[in-house]
Amino acid sequence: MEVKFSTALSEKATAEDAVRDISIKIKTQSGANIKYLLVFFTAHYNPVTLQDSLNRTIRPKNLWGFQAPLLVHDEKIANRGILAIAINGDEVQLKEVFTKNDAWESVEGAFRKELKDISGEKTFLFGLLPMGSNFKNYLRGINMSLGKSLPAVYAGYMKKFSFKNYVLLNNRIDEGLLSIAGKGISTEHLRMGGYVPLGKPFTITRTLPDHGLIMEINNKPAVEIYKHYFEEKFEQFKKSKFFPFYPLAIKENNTTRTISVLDILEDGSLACLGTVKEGLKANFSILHQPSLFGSIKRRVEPLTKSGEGIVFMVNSLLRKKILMDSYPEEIKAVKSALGDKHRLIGIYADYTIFPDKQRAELGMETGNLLLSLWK
Amino acid sequence: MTGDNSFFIVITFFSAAVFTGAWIFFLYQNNSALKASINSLEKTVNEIDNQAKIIIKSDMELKLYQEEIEDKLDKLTFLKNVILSSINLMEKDDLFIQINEKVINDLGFKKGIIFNYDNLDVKISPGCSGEEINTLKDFFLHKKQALTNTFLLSYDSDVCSKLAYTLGYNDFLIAPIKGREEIHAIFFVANMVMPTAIRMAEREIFSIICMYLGQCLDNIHLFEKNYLNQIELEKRITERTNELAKTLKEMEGVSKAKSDFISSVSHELRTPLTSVKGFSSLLVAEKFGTLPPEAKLRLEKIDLNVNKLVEMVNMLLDISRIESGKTEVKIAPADIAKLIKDTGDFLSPQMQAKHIEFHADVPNTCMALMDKSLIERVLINLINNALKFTPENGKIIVTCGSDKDKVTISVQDTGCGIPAEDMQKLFSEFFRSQLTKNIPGTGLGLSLVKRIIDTHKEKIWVESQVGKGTTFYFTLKPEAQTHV
Repeated sequence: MEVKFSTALSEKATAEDAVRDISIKIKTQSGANIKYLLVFFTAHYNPVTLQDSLNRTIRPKNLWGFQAPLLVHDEKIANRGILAIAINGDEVQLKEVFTKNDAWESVEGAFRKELKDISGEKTFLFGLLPMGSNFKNYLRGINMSLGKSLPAVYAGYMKKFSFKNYVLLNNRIDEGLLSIAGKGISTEHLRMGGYVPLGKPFTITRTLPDHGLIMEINNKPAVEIYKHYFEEKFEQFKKSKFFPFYPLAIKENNTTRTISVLDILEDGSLACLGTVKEGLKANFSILHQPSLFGSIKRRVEPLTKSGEGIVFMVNSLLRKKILMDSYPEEIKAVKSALGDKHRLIGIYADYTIFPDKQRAELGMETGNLLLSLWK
Repeated sequence: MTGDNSFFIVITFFSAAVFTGAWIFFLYQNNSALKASINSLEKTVNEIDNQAKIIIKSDMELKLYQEEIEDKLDKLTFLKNVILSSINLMEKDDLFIQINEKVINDLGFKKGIIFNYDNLDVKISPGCSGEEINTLKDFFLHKKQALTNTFLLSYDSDVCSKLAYTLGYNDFLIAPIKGREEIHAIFFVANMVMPTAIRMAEREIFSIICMYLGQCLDNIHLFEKNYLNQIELEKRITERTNELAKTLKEMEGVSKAKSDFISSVSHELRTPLTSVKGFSSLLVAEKFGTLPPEAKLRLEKIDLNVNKLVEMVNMLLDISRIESGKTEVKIAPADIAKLIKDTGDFLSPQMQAKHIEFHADVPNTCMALMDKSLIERVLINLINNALKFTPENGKIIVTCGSDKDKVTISVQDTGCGIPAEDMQKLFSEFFRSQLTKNIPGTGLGLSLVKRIIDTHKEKIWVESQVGKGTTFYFTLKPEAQTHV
């Protein structure tokens, strides 16, 4: 039996009203028996009331909930609301892996304990990493326990969007790192950038890949590349921490990927999200709206041909900032490209972690849009 | 070696030299073109790079403006939330509780402390260690005077340089929470949430919050002061009300005792007086035989005084009946205009005897709600009073006017008037003005009139000018649409 997804979004003001609204929509699509219910909710709702209402009204066999700052349901973007995904299917077996801290030993232990037999096709791993969590440690723990080949998708936060980051764990509410993992759902991923390279290409000449550091570019301290482009505005640029707006477009294996710079260190090295090898050519890049919007249909098309299901989107809060008022147009364009057969749901986050097939490892990005087809 | 060979060698050498020269020339020509192409290409790339610089710098400027606008909007939202959550607070501690970890975070900092200015008591201290609190207490113990003339201190203020060293960080702000007249508290925030230096935006929002808290604390003080005053006032009012209630009760007791006494005395007096009156009338009428003239004259005086005594006893009885509620008041619609005219007619012989002109300036009919017999006694008393105190050839005018709320009746005379000092006591029992001492009267008439009007729950008042005359007014409730 295939996996059955049903989704609903409610923007009602109170948790009780929103859950009632969602319950009707979900039950209309899936019937009364819900095996797994994944919920994303904005910080406006009291998690206790929300959990209580969900358990009383929808009565899922398993309930997991995450807080997120912005929710997407088809063309709708909600900055206040509750988004629910009901998952049914005999083959689907999902489990929660919850840890209070991001020490890789704890993460490894938790994953080993809960997911001993997870491997092979149709493995599924999804989670949210709250602000302050060390994603490198977390991923190391996952890698140590499950290997690198897992099709994991994570959304993470670097800035605070709510006072506390609560997660719903069936009948419990806690703060920590929650992953949902299991079998029976296969995933296909697509990343969209829309960044165009600018200026002269340069060579990354010295790096510390394990620490995500670019130390030298063109045999000079890496920071010189910023000084070159920003000239007299460099200090203002540094003070404003605008590095992620201008990622480095790295050419590798005949493809281009973007690497976000998170900070400039005192010695002039660049702290990056993700790893870079020495000797690669790169460019400064900038998001170019016309090229982005012009290419969405062409880029999304292969995903629509991969099968039916729901498309879970992790869009970038940074990207939203860059696109300014036109960020809803991007969502509309993606939904339009997906068509009616694929429901688009998702959240906004500061960074994403995804399976990088070309480099055969988990990649990390900020500023890009990740579409994950769940089927 | 032969000459031919030499020639051949020379020719060969020469040919080689020419060929090499030509080749070098050819290469030189091509290399220059290549160099020119490379230069041109490099120039283009540099131009593109320069264009990239312009694009990137312009883009950054745009983003800076956008950030600034968003930051301002965030700060406004934060301010709105702080104001909404604290505007109605009336307790100092409740206000400080609002400044929790979230508010400190929204201000852009990880930790904060609020000290009471006077005794340096810690009101809130989210995120702060005991060591930090002690360091700051010690600092303020010696330096809090520095806050008197400033709105904000930071690590770059002279007074704070040592503090930054002791704390081990310099991303902190200190501000006094100032009221109109005093400094209420000291607010310290530290350690930026974002990995940036303290910007002007953080300084401004922190100053605004401190000013706002100062105003809130002023309001709370004012409220506390008003509240305490109100409590004191209420306490005094309660005490006075209790005292008045006690006095009223005592007065009611005295009044009842007085009424009971008057009533019983009047009853006891009435029977023998009736007998005395009967016999004195018979004697004056000489029913028991002719009296000597001197005896008759004295008996006539006795009869006259007995009449006065009977009148006084009757009035006292009426007053005590009304006061004790024994008189049944039957309020019904009646024509007050007709009653005025009838009373005037009834008293016309006395008026004619004194040559007093009487005018009843009343409409044909004027229906009012009243106990007709009691109001008739009011009119008789008032007109009789006017008659007594108006000299011969004077004038008495009785009017009756009405609107939708009341009917007002006035009795005006051209008599001697009432002195201002007597006006307050006019309706008291047995009161007689010095001006009218020589005119006979019991001093009970106006007292009875007042009580009758009181039983109607209406008003009576008087206006008077000595030597010119007096006007008494009283009101009655109208029956709707009574004028014809």
